[in-house]
Amino acid sequence: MPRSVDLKKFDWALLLIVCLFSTLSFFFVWSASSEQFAYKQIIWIGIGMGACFIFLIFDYYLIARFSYIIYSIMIIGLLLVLLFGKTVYGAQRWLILGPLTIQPSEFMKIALILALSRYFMYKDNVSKISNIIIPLFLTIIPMVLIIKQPDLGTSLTLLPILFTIIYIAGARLKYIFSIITIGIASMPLFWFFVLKSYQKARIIGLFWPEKLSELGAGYHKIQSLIAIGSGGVYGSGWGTGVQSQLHFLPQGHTDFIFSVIAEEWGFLRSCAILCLYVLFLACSIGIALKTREAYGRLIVTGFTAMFATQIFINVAMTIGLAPITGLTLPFISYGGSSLLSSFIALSFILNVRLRTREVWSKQAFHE
Amino acid sequence: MPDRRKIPKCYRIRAGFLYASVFIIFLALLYQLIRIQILDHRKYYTLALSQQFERLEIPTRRGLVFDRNGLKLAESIQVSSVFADPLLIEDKKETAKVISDVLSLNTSNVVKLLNSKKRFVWIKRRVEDRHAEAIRRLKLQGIGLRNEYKRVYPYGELCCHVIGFTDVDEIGLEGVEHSLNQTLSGSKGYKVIEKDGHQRQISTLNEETISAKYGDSIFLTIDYKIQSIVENELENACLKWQPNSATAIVMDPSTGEILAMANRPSFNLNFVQDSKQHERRNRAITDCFEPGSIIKPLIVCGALDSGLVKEDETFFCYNGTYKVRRRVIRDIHPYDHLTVSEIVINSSNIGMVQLGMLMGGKRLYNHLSNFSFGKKLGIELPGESKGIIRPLNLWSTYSIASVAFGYEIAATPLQLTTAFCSIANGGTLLRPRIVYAIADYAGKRVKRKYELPERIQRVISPKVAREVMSPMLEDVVKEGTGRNAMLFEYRVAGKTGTAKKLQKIGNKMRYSDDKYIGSFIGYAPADNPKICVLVTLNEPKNGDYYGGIVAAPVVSDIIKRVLRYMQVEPQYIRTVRR
Repeated sequence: MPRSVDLKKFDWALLLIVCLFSTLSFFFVWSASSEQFAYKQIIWIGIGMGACFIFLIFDYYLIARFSYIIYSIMIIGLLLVLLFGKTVYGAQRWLILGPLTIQPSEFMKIALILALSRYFMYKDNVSKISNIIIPLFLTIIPMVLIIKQPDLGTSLTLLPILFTIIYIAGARLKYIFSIITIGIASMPLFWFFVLKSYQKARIIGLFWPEKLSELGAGYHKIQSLIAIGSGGVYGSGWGTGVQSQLHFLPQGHTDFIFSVIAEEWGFLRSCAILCLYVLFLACSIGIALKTREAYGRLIVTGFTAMFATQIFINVAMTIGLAPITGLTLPFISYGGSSLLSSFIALSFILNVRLRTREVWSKQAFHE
Repeated sequence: MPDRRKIPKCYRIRAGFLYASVFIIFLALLYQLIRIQILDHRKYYTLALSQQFERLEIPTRRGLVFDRNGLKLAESIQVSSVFADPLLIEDKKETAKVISDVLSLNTSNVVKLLNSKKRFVWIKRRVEDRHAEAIRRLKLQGIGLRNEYKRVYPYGELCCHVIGFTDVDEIGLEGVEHSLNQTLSGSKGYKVIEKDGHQRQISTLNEETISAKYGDSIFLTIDYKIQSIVENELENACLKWQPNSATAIVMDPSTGEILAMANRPSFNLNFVQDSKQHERRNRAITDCFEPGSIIKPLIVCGALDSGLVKEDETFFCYNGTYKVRRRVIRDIHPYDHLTVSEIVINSSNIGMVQLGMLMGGKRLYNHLSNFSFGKKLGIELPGESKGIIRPLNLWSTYSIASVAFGYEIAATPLQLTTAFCSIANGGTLLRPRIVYAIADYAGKRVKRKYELPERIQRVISPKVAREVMSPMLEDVVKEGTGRNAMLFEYRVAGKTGTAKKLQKIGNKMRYSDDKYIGSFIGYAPADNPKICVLVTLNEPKNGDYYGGIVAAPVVSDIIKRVLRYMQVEPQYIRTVRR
């Protein structure tokens, strides 16, 4: 089989944008927390980029073969988290492996994208209902495991991934809509059996902010709005944002880093960052569009969906349009697991662009 | 087999839809970002400042109240008050339960407080030290302690009506605490602090700080020792005679300073909330009553001063029954001929009526008005009553007769004491005073001192006061109605008074036959008066009610003890005529 690594096709724009994000990350993690965290973040960025280039060396088809295995390993990882995980902020999300604390739910997203893409890879006709049911189960199993942690935010990000992949794989719209309908219909069940009281409070707080203070869930949202709002057009300047410097804004270096940026850099520059993210997403959709081969196309759209969900929900959360969830801002928020998974996802997108390939037959793939 | 090289058309459309979704969501976020950062920027900026800066009060300290010798009668001590910042409290029910357990409060009330939307609510103010310590040790999120001051009165009931008390915010409500509230309270200071998200104070903006000005301290004219003697004697009299109420005043006739002022019933200043309204009244200045015979010497002064009579002129006293038109006036003991002096000494009503008629209504009215009856004396205590002296045009045909022996006129104990002091000091009416000096907070540097007595006016000529009235009043004690006030050690001058109380019988106001106000006023030493003492007992029971029996011994006991304390040389009276 011909391998066509075409360096001219390497998407420098995407890499440049991510490098910009990484630089921003360093400075704003510094501003929001401390120099020490900023240097840790740099190390993680380094590790992430390293991983990104290592994965670029291999043909993504090699990984495609292990899709289901990776998926199974991650499921086991999630089970381990539930059994032996480390509890932080009341949620059991972290697994300790020697010196590392990792958050398997971050990598679960990648594994799910690989598995779903693998499933649809040779399904030309996705109109059969069974072709929808299996991916649905593939998604629901990790969702349940993640909800158990509890981490509703990450769990729900799996749904857009599923829908986007099904959609791009060519499923009939009526199936997609019926899944969505069932999902909406089952929301009361969620409300009464799955959601914890603090999660309900956050959702109530989104729609009826005046009830916020009674439920005690409003603090983060109010502080984030105050931070962003007091930034104004030009911002207060790097390192001078009162809200984060004086610890009014909690988790300024992780979930709420966008609020810190908006406060210190003001509307013009925070808007520019938002545009960069949109550009990033557009680029990756463009890569998917250019990819003729199904697996590559599906994983790129999957990763795009993953990034889009995280970016939009994170930003929406800081400006009071979404409930407070533990979602991080890709490439900027502090956190090893999230950075690493983002870089790995990036590496897949770049990989697919780098290797325009002949479409393999099913037999060839299994050889 | 479809051609896999071609990108299916439907895929293009679907990818286009993805582009569109991303763009629409981006627009939505952008719209919200513009709203927050540009349109509502002011609002959020103000919010940020308001949670970042806080204007804190710097508590001032209320001035102290001392007696004239610098003994503390009222001071403010530091205590802790518990407050909450409801926004910082996660579990309101649990927190409320813990707090209400420690402070013994009603849990549901505390929950209500914690649910309020404010960022500062008092939970309980002025808690005991051990409770404050317990709260401090609990280290509850959003619960804090703030230092406040609490007014305490070391002597409790002593001089309660004069000192008065404050409310929980240390604003004076009664007594000098009220009348001199301005002087005592000082002014609060303010500082602006910068806080962080954990409500820790980071810095203080020095240029915004206004420091607190402590209140001034007050020295009362009250002498603790004299006040104690008076309270003690009054208490004994109350035990003996069971009056409804009682008042005693000790005044320095040469300055108008009140050395002691006591009332019964009284209350404990530290437990004001347990007292009743009527117990808190300073009857010495708020309650006026018809003085009865006590007023006689004052009227005689006027008659003598105006030259209408001489002290040795005699009047026929009709053997105890005298008719003024249709009204019969009686004396307790029948007399035939009495000199003016003897009228006072024996307290003859009939004699007084004749003197009064001699003077005529106008002169009588003016003379009594000069003594400030019917007017406020202007003492620095709240709630002073004017007393009642009816305007001349309202006087009936009997009014002269009534006023002449102390009815149809009402005066406060303070007015009577002040009036008698003018006899004692040689004829000048002095403004009664309760404040001796005003000093800085520490009581060290005196800011204002009332050196000179404040004269209201001359009311009696010195000659009449010294040469006629004083011996006359001394004789009241030596041989007249006031014999019970006599002392072996000091020459006492004084006058008794027994007034029937006006009360409602049926629909008419009538003078009661069994309810009296017995009073005695005396000063000593008669030749050089140091103190003037008034004691009135309202409705004494246990049989006797005459001022000469119920009040005179109290006055003499007070005079004896007070003059001894003041180290006045005893005089040892040799000739006692009985």
